[in-house]
Amino acid sequence: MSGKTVASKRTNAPSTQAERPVDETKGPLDAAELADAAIAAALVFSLLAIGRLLAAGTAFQVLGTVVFAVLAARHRTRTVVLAVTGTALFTVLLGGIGPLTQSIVAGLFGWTGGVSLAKKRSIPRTIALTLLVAWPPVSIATVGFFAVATELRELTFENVANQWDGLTNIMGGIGNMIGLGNADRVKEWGADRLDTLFRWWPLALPFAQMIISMLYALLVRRMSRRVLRGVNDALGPVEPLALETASSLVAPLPLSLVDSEIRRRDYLVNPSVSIAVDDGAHVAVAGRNGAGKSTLLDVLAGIVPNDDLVRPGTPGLGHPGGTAYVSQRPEGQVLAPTVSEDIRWGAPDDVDVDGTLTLVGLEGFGERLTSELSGGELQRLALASALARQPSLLLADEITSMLDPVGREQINQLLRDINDRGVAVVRTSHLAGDLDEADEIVTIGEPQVHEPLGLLNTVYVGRPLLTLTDVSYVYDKGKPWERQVLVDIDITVHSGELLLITGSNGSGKSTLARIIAGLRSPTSGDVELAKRAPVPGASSDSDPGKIWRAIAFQHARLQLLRPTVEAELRSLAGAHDVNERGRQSAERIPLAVAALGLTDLLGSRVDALSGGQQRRVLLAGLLARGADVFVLDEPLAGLDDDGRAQLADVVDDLRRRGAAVIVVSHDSSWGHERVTRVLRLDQGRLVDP
Amino acid sequence: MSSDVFRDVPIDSVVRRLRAESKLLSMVALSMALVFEPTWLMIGIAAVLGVLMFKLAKLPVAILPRPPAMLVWGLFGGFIGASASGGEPFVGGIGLGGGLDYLRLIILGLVLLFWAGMLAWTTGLAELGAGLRRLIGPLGRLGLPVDELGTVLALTVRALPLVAEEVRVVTDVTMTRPSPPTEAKGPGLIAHGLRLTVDAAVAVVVGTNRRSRDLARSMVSRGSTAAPRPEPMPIRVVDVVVVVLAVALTVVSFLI
Repeated sequence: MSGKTVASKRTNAPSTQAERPVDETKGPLDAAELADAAIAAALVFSLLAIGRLLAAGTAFQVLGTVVFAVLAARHRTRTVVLAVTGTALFTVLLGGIGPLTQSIVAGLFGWTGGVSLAKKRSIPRTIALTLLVAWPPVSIATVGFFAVATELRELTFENVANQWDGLTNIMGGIGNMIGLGNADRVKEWGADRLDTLFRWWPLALPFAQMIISMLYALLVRRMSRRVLRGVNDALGPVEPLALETASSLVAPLPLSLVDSEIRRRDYLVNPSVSIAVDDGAHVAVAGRNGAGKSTLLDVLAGIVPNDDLVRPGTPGLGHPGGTAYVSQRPEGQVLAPTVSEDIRWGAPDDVDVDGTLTLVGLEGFGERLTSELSGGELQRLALASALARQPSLLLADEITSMLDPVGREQINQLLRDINDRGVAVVRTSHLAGDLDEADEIVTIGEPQVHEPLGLLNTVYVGRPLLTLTDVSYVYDKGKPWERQVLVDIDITVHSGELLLITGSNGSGKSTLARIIAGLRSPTSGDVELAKRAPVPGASSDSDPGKIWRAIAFQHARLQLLRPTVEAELRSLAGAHDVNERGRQSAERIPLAVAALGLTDLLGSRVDALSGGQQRRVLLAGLLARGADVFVLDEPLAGLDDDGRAQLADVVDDLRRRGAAVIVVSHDSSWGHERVTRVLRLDQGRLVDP
Repeated sequence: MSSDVFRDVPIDSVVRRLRAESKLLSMVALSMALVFEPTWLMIGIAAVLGVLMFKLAKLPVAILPRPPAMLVWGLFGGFIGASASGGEPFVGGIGLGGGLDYLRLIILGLVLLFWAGMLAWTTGLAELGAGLRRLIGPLGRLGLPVDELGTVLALTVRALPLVAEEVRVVTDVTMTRPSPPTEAKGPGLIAHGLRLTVDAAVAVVVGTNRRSRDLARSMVSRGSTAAPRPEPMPIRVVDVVVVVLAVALTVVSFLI
């Protein structure tokens, strides 16, 4: 690219870039801050609710404090204040003033802890800040409260005194029995002290709270520092995400991008990308994982700045006549509890909710709760939200990849209809069927290498490892919201087998996966486990025990708890055990590392890895643990063809070692040539595939 | 966990049709009465009212949560300790005072929890969020950022089930980790537990951040960070009556 063309493009650029506020330290919260505040509020509220029910409020309050501390270290104070206020308002649901107090205490100590960590304050300064900011309001509120609530104060104090009294009475009784004499002296000594404390409570309580505050600040600091380090490693600094300001210059099309570098922040995603989109076009973007498909859509949406992009006006993301954006995860795009509120979010005031819903085949859904919609229905709702703005450009990033085949076809049909109405569509997909929908395919990055998957030779399907007999599962049995998700399931899993369990969303797949993996017990029916094969060389009388099971959930990151790959593998494998089992696991780690091609990544931090690599780390750990049955939940989601081929090799390898692999997926198109059996679930029953 | 106990029970009834604001306000009033006047009389009135509401709401007894065994034994131990202190009143020479005081404190907690349950069982989470937002609305005149807070509340309603799901997965996988080092005892075991807690907390915060980014992206895609205002609702006589009664009960309890 010559310098001259760059310069000429640059002069064009400013008018086509979305304008964003410069000052990010003042004023209302931006989208990222609002979302983080809400997530923190929901998390702390859940923690306090669990604590309330388990009568372990304080332990869960500490965790809530850590959550707020992380928020405070990564965001400005306004975010924390709004998150804490939101939590406090919701605690009305938990009854009494206990949870309310806990949410505010968590907020105060979380804020001081988080701010101290972010500014790298020493321990003494952290404590000083705590005593200045967190302790006074807590103490003043306590004293004020007990000054008014005299009855409750007396009842509480009396109970403490009674407990002491009773304890010493019991001690005295035992003492008398065994001839040690009664405990009257101890009793009186303690009673006197308590009496003094109760008389001077307006001083004694704040003093006690001061001591507790300091200890609490230390505990919070210690825990938050480690959590914060992990979180910062994983997420990097907070990316501000501001709205595109409304403008009269909205005109996203026609756009063109010629031989441009695609960057996300400082990271070069793709050195050369070209694309042109005219009014009413239907363009598909193809490419391998990591080629920059999603980043390209962000460039077109104006979220990621790019000076080479030429278009007549601003993208107008979310504004009428501008650009609309729909993404991969159905449940990730919903903002409101009911369908009609969700459509109204940010839409013009005169939006025709019912009409828009009819366009996407959701007529009459207005009052439905968004939490009850299926994945396909949610994607249609997301498209409805997009259409409510009458966009001229619709960006769709892998919007069918989480759907079952029926849902996928419906969405593809809908995109055709939308395009027929004159809306330009740019979509990405890794599925050939989706790409064929478009009038034009733009491939970015290196083309995929379609290596034909070598057929698996000689896998021996052997003895039964696990047998489910008449397994049923009922959620909340006996409650009004009782729901049966599995009915009389009979399955036998053999070693070396690759079993595919398919079914649409809500068919009971994930519950069955959890039962097979041993995370849930069936409400009726039996799960029978075979014995492990004896370890070669072990003494013949040692009992090898039952087979071991392992599950890999779709989002591997949730399952990886240690910071580095090596530590993670040792922990997953149980290699720190000093017994025979631990020793064997430790010996298996190098084999597992080689089998999954992780040798170069051993020293890496888990959070520096891609999603596919994290999934391989998880599998390696479970392999080293010596599991006999592997349950893989949606293992293909988000993998391109190369990733799929790699995973197929891993699965083959597990099976050669005599393990059974059970793939749970709505994606029934995968690896037909190697699957030994397909089981289809429909409304909790096994049906003919 | 929490969502399994305090969840909406979709049974139509008079109580369910009350507006969320009325239920919220009455509950706050009742809680104040109980907290500031925790006498047997007030606890009794609150309990009887609670049972009445439970019947009116046509709720099945099966929804009541069973407390964990450890909690029951802990409470029982506390009761023994408190009872052993004796004290007035005496019945047949045995002082019941300590035990009664203890029972009063525990029953007070249970009644508060029960009322919280009544609110949750008869009101959808979405409706509660909208109710809270309508209640804080007037504070906007004082210059408080109620619209911003309203968006946080609306998003929190949306985030609660998502967060619960992430917490469930992380709890599942933390539980299925191989046991701690077998030689670990006492402090070692506590350190191991603490480390696992920190690791799980990182996984939860990182996992939920994905959700948070989704929400933020979605707001940007719609060009607005303002949740649509909840639709105004007409004030009904029955709602006014309920709130007035609850507030009156509280005021009376303070005066007596």
